[in-house]
Amino acid sequence: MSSLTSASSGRLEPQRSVRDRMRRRVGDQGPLLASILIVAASWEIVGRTTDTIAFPPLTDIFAALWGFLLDGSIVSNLGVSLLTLALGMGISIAGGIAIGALMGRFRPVEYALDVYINAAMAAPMVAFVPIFILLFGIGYPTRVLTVVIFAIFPIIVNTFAGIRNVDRSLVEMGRSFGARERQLFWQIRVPAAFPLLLAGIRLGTARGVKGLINGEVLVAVVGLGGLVNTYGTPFSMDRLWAIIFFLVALALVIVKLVEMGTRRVVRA
Amino acid sequence: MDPEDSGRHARLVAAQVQRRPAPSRERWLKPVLRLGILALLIGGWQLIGNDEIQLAMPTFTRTMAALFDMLSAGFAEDSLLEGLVITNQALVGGFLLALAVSLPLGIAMGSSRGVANIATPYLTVLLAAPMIALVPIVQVVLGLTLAARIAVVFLFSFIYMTINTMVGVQEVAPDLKEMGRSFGATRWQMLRMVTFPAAVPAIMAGIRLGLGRAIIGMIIAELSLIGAGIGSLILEYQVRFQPAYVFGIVLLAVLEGVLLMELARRVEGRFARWKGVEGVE
Amino acid sequence: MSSTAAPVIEAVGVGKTYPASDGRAPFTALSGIDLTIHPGEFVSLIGPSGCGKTTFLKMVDGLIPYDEGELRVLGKPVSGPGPERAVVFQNFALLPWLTVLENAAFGLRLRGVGKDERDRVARSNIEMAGLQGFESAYPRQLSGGMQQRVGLARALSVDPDIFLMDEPFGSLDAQTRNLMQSDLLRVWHASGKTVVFVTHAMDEAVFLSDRVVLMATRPGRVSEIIDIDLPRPRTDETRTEPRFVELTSYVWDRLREMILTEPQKQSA
Repeated sequence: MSSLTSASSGRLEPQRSVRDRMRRRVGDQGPLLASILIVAASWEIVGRTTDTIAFPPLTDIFAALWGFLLDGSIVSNLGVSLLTLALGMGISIAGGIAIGALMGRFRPVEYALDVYINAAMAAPMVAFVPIFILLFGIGYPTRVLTVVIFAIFPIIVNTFAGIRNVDRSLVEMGRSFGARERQLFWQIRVPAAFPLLLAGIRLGTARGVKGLINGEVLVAVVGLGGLVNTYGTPFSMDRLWAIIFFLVALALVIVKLVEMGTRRVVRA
Repeated sequence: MDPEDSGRHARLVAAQVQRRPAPSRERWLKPVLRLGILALLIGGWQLIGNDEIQLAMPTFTRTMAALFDMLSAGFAEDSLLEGLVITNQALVGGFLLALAVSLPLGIAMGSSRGVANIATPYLTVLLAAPMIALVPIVQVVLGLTLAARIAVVFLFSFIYMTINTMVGVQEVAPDLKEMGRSFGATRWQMLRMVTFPAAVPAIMAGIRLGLGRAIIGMIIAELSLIGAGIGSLILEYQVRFQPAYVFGIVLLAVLEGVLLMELARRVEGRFARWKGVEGVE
Repeated sequence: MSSTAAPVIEAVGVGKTYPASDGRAPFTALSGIDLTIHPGEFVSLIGPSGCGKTTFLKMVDGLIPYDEGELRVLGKPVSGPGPERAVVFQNFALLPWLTVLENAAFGLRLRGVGKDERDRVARSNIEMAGLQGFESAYPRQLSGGMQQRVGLARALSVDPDIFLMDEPFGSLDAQTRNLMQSDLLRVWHASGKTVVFVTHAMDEAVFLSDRVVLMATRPGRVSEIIDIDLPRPRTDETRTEPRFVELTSYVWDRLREMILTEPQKQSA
């Protein structure tokens, strides 16, 4: 994870996800399973024995989830959400790599953009959603744009940092063998930047999923986030929890898939 | 610290120092390019904007006029500044609460492998969870109150601070802990004099990230809980079709976020000075 | 040195076996170590990597438990670190957020010595270690050799009977290393303390020691103990004396023999 950025020094530092740093830490599974059982059991008991509307029994939640899966309401909304995410991530990855690479290759581009990208990394981008709604309504443009503003900046920063912070000795080796700036870029900097670039895509995807849900909840009626609004009433908490569980599982699966994909690329 | 590594570090610094004085061109190129982009953005905004149609993007000048109009009301009732103050109450409350929970929790989790093994999967889930989906639940429990907005800010920020504190404590160099043990440090001395100070840079990074998340939580709480602050103002101007005012409010909120994060970055830099290269003389 | 005085360190049949884990077979790190070290002696441990020399040193300090035989320091069985022993670490292990003075005083601070007293003691030992004038510098501002002088001052400050030195000069360049060796001998002569010194450099072991303990691998064990009969005080001229060269090449021959006779075990 990241050391963020520094607007004043004009240096963009690479980002790593917390997940990247936490990896390798999960060991023996026994106590974990026990703790999950305890948590689940206490949730069930609290839900059954008290009148907290906010925490219905787990079994009710899973029953609601099962119902959603059977009646197709999750599947139909899932399609909308995944299409939004795919469009948003496509734009973010293509645009992020292009901008980051230009900044890494040409110093003037770096000078022109670095402060703004640092500011965008730090800015609460979700505040722009009401503006998008105002301008574009609640259709795809607003939601795709929300994914993009969440996802693109870590990709830009990591691509740039990867290209610029290549081990000096590799660059010096290239120079001593007579490589030109252009050759250094394509044959040393770009390949060496790859791991960091992929870390940027992983981080961007994790943020993009959050942008997706944020956008859908705030525009209120479409996709899985729309379901959060539909069932966000005191009388349907079991169904709201069912949506939340599904969203968390979906987010984990997407992040995991991207992780597996990017790791395979690195190994190849 | 690995001595070979510090040697490489020293070379890197030397190389940078050699490179630095070279282009005097850089000195003026940087601000010119930065300002150029700013001018381009504002100019483009001015051209794209259209003040004739109510639903279109307002021009830059009109947005500034709207912002000026709202700011000139000072802290009067229902003014932008009053709304911003109300909005920020949630930030202060939620962030401080998260801080009070995260630091002890993170240190405890980082100090015990067993606890970390159990907690890490939960943290992974919470990290991936779109917290905005929990907002309706907070609303059911706490209503549309300040407490609800504080709870949302807390939910958004505590997880990052806890995880960074945990990882920071876990990643304290084993040689330093071994040294402490060898010189007879007690558990409490080890925590106070070795582990905690060594983890401070990571903890400060976590606090900065947590603040960033808290700001997002504050804005989401305003937007989705129809907070008494800028959230209701945005809604009001949205239904009155006054996009320039919505733009103005959003810009101010974003500006606050950027400035707070820059401040956090500087504070963090002070605490982490021994870790970076800034101190090399 | 008088061999009739009570020994400071006494190892009888000391061994250490790590149990099997993660599918790896149990690993015997050390076996049957017999070694007696007398007051004021300078003893070096040398051997190929994996011979357990650092493990043994850390056992003497009490950082690693032993599970076979008996290990006594000043007549008492070792059960953990104690004030009569102080380690100088291979990677210096300086606290980067403390100044040179604060680092040198760290051991005293842990023992609850007041600030004035511990600063006074630390200052005199910083001078002893040849670092006067750098009291308020931070470790990162010092070269490797100077950082290790801080490590030495820190160990001197707690006034132990035994110095345990774990390849303290291993990461220094050759000139710095020679200088540090001479300075260490000067400090040792002045203090009259016992030193156990782990190294992988044969000339260093011969130059410094009264006795050189040659260790072998798999399992880690004492192979031979060589008396170094070079007169003291030793100076840079010592390094050119025929006897020094003879002893060094003897150690080298023994080590080479050891490595060549176990080639099939030199895995990974």
